[in-house]
Amino acid sequence: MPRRESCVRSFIFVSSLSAAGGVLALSARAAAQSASPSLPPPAVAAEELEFEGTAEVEAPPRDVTRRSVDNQVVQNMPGTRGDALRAIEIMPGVARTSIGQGDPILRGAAAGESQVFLDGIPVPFMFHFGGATSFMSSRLVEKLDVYPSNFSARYGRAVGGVIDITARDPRSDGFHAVLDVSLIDSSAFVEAPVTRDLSVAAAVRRSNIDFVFDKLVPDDTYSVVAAPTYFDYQALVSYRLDSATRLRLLGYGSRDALSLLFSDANDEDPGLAGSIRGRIEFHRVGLELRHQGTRGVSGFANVTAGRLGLLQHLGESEQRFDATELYGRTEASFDLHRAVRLTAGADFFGWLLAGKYHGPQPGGLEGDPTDGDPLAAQRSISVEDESVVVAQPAVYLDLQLRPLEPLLISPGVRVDYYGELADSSVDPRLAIRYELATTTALKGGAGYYSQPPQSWQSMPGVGNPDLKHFRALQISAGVEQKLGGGGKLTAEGFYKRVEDLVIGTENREAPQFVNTGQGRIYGGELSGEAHFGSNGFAYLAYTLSRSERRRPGSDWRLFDQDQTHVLSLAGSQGLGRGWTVGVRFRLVSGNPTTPIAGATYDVRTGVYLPIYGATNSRRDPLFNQLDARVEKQWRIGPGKVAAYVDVQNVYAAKNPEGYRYSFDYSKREAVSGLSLFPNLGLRGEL
Amino acid sequence: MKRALSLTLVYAIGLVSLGCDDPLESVELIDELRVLGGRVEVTGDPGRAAPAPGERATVRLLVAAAELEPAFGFALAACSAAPRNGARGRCVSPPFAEIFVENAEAAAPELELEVPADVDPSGRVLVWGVVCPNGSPRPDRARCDGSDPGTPVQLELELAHAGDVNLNPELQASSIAFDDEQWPELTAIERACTGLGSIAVAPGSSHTISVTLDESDRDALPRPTELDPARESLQLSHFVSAGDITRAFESIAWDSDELTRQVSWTAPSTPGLVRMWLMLRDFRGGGAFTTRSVCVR
Repeated sequence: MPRRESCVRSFIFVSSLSAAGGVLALSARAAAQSASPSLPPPAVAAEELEFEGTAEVEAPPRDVTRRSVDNQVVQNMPGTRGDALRAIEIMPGVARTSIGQGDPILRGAAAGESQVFLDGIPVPFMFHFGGATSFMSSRLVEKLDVYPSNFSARYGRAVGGVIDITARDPRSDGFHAVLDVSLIDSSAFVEAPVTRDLSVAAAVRRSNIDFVFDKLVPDDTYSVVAAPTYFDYQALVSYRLDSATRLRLLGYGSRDALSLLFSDANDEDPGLAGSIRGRIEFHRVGLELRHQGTRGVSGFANVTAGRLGLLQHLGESEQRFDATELYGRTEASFDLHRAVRLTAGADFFGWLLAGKYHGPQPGGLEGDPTDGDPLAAQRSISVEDESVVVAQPAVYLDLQLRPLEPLLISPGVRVDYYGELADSSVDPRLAIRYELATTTALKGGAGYYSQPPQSWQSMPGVGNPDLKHFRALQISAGVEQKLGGGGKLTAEGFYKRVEDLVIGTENREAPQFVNTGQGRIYGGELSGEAHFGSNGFAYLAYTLSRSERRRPGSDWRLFDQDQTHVLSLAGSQGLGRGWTVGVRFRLVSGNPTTPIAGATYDVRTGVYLPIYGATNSRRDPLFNQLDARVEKQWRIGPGKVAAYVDVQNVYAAKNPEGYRYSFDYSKREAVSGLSLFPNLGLRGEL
Repeated sequence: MKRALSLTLVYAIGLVSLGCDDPLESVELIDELRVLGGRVEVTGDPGRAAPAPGERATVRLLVAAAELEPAFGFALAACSAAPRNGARGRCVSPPFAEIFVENAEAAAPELELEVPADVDPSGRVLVWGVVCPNGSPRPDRARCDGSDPGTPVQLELELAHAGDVNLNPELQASSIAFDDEQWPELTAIERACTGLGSIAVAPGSSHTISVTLDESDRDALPRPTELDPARESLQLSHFVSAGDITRAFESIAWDSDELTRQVSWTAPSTPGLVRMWLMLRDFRGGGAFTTRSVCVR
């Protein structure tokens, strides 16, 4: 066979690894708000000596576990290319995901069961192209909080965990700019004060891969109409109304696009012929008013509106969606007594969606190996709806009681209404924290967490309009030990039980989806961090866990991305004279796989249909990877110039990310993930 | 909606990092017994692929092998199919037609059936079974005796109903050309290919094979929405017993007007008879197949 055909097969195989790129992965889930109860001052460079008038006070925790990484750490983290959001990979409870697999896996929950927020507003995806680069400039990130489970009633519509990104205010000490050019992408960032109370910042990034893409692929594989490109931007205006009140306007957006024209039909799936075109983009603007009162009253209100668009075209399958989005949240906290704090809030998530779909009946849920069946052999459906309304309001209450000085008890309750389902949920939650000593704390919590199905799963003609929300019981407990110099050790155990999970029916027969799945997840985590002066750090994280799912009448089986052992080690150290070096090492159990026992020839379409063995009954080999980063920085006048190389997979470990099969599934070979990849870059800062 | 459609940078990175290695197995090269397609003919109206309830029809499979006269067994059965959206057919009632052959000796696997008169015409008929190289099928029609599991097969047929007629596409003898010359079908008698009148080519030489389809090969389809295709899409497949052909599959999308399709074939370096199988299908159960041969010497 000519070389070309195999290239196409590899291409399709790898693309099939991606799990959450489509709008259908953009679940109609929650608007929830993460917001520090205190009003942070405008961000100020570490070396700045100017004093501001507002103090930042860390509020008592309402969540059992919140893990954060500061910006200095993430920008020097090897293997992340300075991408702040990729730094969550060093945290315990976060499974390894490959490029294309979508958002992170938190404590054994599927990516679509966790939620990512920017300033409390849910975002459609965290990374471009399902994992390449985050959608937001690291320069604008103030902090990144990860709640792997047992989060407070502030967050909802998710049975997994929460990742909350907080954008920082622009610096007030003059004009600053950063220009960063690397093989992967190029970005620019500027910030400046306009008046004493008004400051602005803006960032923009564009991928560089399309400049070389058509040089890298064989000419006879396909014609490149438009190579894959991504683009994102953020613009922030912050205005201080008085010492306790701030108004922020944040606009941001992202666009991923790809267009290819196959010269031939694919061997295994003749349905893969013609063109692949796709685009997903969102554009938003949000206004936030935040007040930090001096008499025990604080609060904020946020309204964000935008547009979301998606086009996917694969052979004769086509999908178009356009949605108008509206998110809102208001929250107020009252210190009722020195030992009692009450927080009350409400949030709203709304979509007005118009879309068209022609293609195979969607399935593709977790644990369904037939999702990879050839397109040609599946029956197509056509659906067109110009007015799908998704409206999901919620209210919540949190109490923080401190009956004894070292004891904090945080009960809460959240009530959600899912308008399109005429369904509602009430989720009580409880978190307890006891300070054994100033450096040692015990903590634990339990609560219920509900999530509606993704909006398309209940859409008439595509899914089951009778679907309801599904629900998880989450329990966790642990201990935190602070060390000197900002170091910390933690140990935690967790258990989750999920009921009424949405699963696909056998052979995708009507009603296509039902609320009859179950899940159970349990495990333990150890983590440690140490900081060495202002320019060195070390992180250790280890997670031992098991995540399982089952259908009615079936035995428990492994979750698609169950990873028994996840070990991460990372460190970075400044060496003086502008040199910084760092390494990261990961050792992770391979993902479960479903064996293929044979194949049936489909005479109607001319393709072989794999005959699957027990779902997820085997496991890929152990994943291991070492990343390294070296940076040299020069001070030139008022600015800095840095050259860096961020090398992923230093010793080119061949880690299987899946398998490719012969046309009749009689032979297979492992497909390795990304090999050694040095990303060279140059950065200038003013 | 399809997971495979997700847009990822892996599209790019994957191609570069995985490389474009040689395939595990060539789909277009016939080096063992394989099923390549099939055709359904309504009795008395062979141009029609969709029988109506109460009508008789014949299902014939195209089997190809490196040998001229391969030995194989097969078992086929027909039943009413369960409604489905996924890829796999399933019976909802016991078979109403079946055949069990231990040694077919070059005869094409064939099943004659009569669709029960009380079947819902909007439903489908599932033909399923197994083809066994050098062996006999087991009674469950799912596997073969011996070490070779054989090739399980399925074919889901639409039934004729008002407003939707499914005709077989046709591969007309005059529409198939080898190096722009009409390429007649000749019966291959022996591997040495002497005295057959086959086209003769030199070892290692390159040639073009073209097939011209007719507009009438694509039936009009009901079109409830503008997203639905207005007519059938077709697939033309090429298989060879030796040599190197540029691609196995040609897709003729419903909105394409390119009805002449061409592939290149490079003759093997060793002399001998080379056979080529062409299969044309409409993805709804309609099909046509034919065999050609060329002598390399």
